[in-house]
Amino acid sequence: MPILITQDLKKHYISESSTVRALDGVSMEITAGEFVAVVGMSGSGKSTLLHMLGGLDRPTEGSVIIDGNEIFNMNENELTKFRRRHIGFVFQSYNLVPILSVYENIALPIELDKRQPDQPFIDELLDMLGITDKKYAMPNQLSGGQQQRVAIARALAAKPAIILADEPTGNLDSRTSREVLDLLKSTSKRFNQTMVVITHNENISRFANRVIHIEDGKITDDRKGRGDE
Amino acid sequence: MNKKTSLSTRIFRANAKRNGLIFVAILLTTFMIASSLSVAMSFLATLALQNVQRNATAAHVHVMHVSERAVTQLQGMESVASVGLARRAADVVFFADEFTMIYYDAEYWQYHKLPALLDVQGRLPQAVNEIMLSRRFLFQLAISEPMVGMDVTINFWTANGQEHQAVFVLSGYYTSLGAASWHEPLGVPVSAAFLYALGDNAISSTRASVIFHNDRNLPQSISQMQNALYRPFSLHTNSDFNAGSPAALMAIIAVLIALLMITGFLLIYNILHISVANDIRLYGLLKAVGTTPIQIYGIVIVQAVILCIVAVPLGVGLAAVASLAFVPMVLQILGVQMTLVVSLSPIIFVGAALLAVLTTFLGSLSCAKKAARISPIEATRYTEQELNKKRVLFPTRGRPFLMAMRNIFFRNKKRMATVFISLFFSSVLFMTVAVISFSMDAEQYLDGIFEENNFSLRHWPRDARHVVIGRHDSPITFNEPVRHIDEAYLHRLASLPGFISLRYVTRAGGFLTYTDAFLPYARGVHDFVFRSTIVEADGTTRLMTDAEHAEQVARITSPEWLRPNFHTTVYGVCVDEVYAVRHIFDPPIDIDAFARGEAALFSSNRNPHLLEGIGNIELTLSGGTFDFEMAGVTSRMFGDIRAFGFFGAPAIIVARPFLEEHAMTFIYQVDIRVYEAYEPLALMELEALTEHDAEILFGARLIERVGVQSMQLLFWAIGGSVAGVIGLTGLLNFINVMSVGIMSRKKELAAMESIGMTKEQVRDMLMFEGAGYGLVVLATAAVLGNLIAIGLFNFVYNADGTGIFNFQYPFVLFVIMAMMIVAICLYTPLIAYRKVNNATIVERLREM
Repeated sequence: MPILITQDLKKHYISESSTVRALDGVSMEITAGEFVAVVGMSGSGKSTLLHMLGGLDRPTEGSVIIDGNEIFNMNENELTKFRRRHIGFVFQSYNLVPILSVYENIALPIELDKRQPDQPFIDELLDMLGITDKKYAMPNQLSGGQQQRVAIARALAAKPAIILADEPTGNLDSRTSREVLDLLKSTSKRFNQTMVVITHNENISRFANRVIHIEDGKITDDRKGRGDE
Repeated sequence: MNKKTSLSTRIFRANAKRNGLIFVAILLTTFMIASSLSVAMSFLATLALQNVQRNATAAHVHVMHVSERAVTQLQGMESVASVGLARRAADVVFFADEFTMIYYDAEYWQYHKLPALLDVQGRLPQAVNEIMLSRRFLFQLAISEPMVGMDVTINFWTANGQEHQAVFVLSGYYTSLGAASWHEPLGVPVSAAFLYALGDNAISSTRASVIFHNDRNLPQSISQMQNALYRPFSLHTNSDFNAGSPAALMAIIAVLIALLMITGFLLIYNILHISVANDIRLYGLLKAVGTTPIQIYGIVIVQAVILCIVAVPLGVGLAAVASLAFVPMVLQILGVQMTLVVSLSPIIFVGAALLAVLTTFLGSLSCAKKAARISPIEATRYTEQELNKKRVLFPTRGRPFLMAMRNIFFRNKKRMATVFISLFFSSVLFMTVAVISFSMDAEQYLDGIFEENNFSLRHWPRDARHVVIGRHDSPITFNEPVRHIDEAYLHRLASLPGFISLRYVTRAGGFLTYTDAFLPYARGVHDFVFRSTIVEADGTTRLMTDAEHAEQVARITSPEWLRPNFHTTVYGVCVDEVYAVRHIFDPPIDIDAFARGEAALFSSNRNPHLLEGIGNIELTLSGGTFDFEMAGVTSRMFGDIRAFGFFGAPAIIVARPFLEEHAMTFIYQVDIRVYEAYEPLALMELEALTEHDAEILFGARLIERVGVQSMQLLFWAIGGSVAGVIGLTGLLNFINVMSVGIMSRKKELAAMESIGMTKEQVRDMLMFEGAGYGLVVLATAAVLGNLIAIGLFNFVYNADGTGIFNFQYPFVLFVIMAMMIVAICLYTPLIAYRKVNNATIVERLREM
């Protein structure tokens, strides 16, 4: 059963002299628990697609349906609340809040929702990600890899149905990249979460169940990945 | 153009908004410093001019009975700037003031006398029958509209004791504010021809007056001059009325300038600091490609210098214009009532420019240090956050309020401190100005002068010395006074429009029988005994030495001297008035004994406590000698009688009917009360009544009220503008820091929204941040600010001699101020966030 559906999704940037078609009619369905890699060259429209999937930007045309909810029918406030309950984000530049400790960053989406964080679960995440000893450290005391682990933990902590990761290994060396991807893969499997990972690195596709190629805002290829092997 | 300058100008051009803010900050700082310096320098120049005006001459020292050889010597001395000559020709007969006809040479007139005079019309006399007169002299001749060329008849005495009468032609007239002193009498300038015509009958020999190039150390210059003369001459030094008095004002101006520099520094530092923080990656990159720290210092400082080049001269220019308009007002507020001088000395403007440049330089230096020290790697990671704590002190639990507190206290302590200090200074200054202004009570001040009355007339007879002191060479003599205000006059006053009541105080001369109980009091007034002169065997005079002066003080405060010289002034007041205040005294005055002339009061505003133990006195009036039981001491009561007795004897207050029966009295003071609605009409009538009467001075509550109220208004206007500008600087600092801070957190806020923080939650967090600053400032201002404001008020209150201050706490104003601060603190972050929020989350996340 598809948890995420896009229908003829378009995003056009119109200026006086030209129109840039960042997304040009993307339709797809992603099933719950799938690990999907969206690959493409720089400027192909893959990040724009991820932002649309997460409701961070509104499309020019088309719709995104998550778990049966047409997200762009929601107002800004409803969309934000929906996002913190159902979607976890992992950014290339981590985007941790510098004044909050590791634990506070991880618990932030849950606490913003006025819910009690699941302490044992967060501890388990920290342990799994190997940053238990950094629980009360501040972001500027961590390395890049450690910060990305915290960002992953933050995305997982609210137990969302979907994790959207935008170039999560873009700022990391190859060894750390592999570790992060292994983590993403194992956690999605363990918590039955749907994972959509944006990358321009085709090697990542070996971790994915499915690899979608994007070029000039259109899906040019959609095939099974080697992650199932 | 070298690369560094080129880079500086490019960075400069790329920061138009920041440049605008720094420009305003430098401009304000320069303007305020220059204005404060201008007030201070103008005050000093005005005091110096007033000193000259009060002395009636700009001369530093007079050399009496000088010889031609000595004059030549004086003119040849390096330290001497000017030697002016004068010679006393004759004394004018019968005037309230002692006028002397004097010949002034051109040098004395031009450089010594003219600076002390105002509104000079005409010229110095040249012909034998020409004369120049002061307006004071003309007033006593009942000439209110003098004209050059008019005839004036004057009686005068010459040295042989003969009285002459002559008709003179008025060659000029002027206003002199100087008080008469025997070495600089109230002069009536006459011509050299008049002096020659008198021949040997001229009253005294020539006097040379000296102005030194440098007036810093006059005693030393005078001593050197004296030693260089071929023989000693009698010298008279002009007093410096204001020596030491500007110290308090100078201290206040110094504090104000320091405050302005700190506020300016904070503002410039903050704006530049934010700008450097924004460009930090660029500075890191520059270092990576080989730019040295010194070159980076140069890049930052050059930008500040470019702004200084425009802002400093403009601030100085604005201050010069404002000085011409506002300094006279400020000087009036400071109590300067005579001629006002607006100083446009280059020291003010060069000084202000240097201080402003120094402030900017220090501000930019601190920021340049940050830019120069950052490593290329640090620069790429820089996040505006200087937190290095291992653990945080309180959890945030995702609550906007707690996250706001974390932002205030943990994000950037330096910035928090600068914003806080800046806002705190502004609030304290505003509070101080407000407390002082609100506590200026015009009615209390007027009550101090007029009590419940509207007008106060004071009769000062021409032969006042005889009437008041009651002595005329022999120990106890009494002269019949001139009764200028009589029953008929009182009836005329009683028919003024809206008349309610009048009261009057009579006055007579008396002689106190000295007892040793008076000795401490008499010694207490010894500092009022001025230094006399000694006549030498050769006829020349000289000033007393310190030792001779001390000896004289000891002599005139000795029982032997006091016993035959204990003359006093006796005031007669209405018994009902004493009855009304009898309970102020402990024990209360026995009013019957007072009415019978058996009890009396001492009146003295000088060491009144030294009279408290004296129980009985013996007082001789023209009608006999009487014993009084002393019921107390008053220093300020019954129509402001504040006199102290002559040569150590205190003034005495007795019942008016008693005094009138037993002494030769005259009405000294009349206080009149009228209905408020009739005050202007009564004022007009009183003005008409006293217009041509030089002996009656009168004060009107109505006129004083206008004066006091305009003074209050001016204080408000100027104090308010200073507080307003500093307040504005503080708020500008806050607005700048908050808005730029939020702009620089654009990406962070977008990230928070992306992970589920709603816009309302972001807004709440930012509002709490603003409110946090506001509340911390207000809480500190409520404690420390009040302490400082009330402390400064007490300082002003104790220094004030007018009695105008009556402590009032402007609670409502402070509540409004607090609400305004909170409103600005709340809305500034919101407005900044609204600007940031124009872009989508994605756009904000993509920005570097």
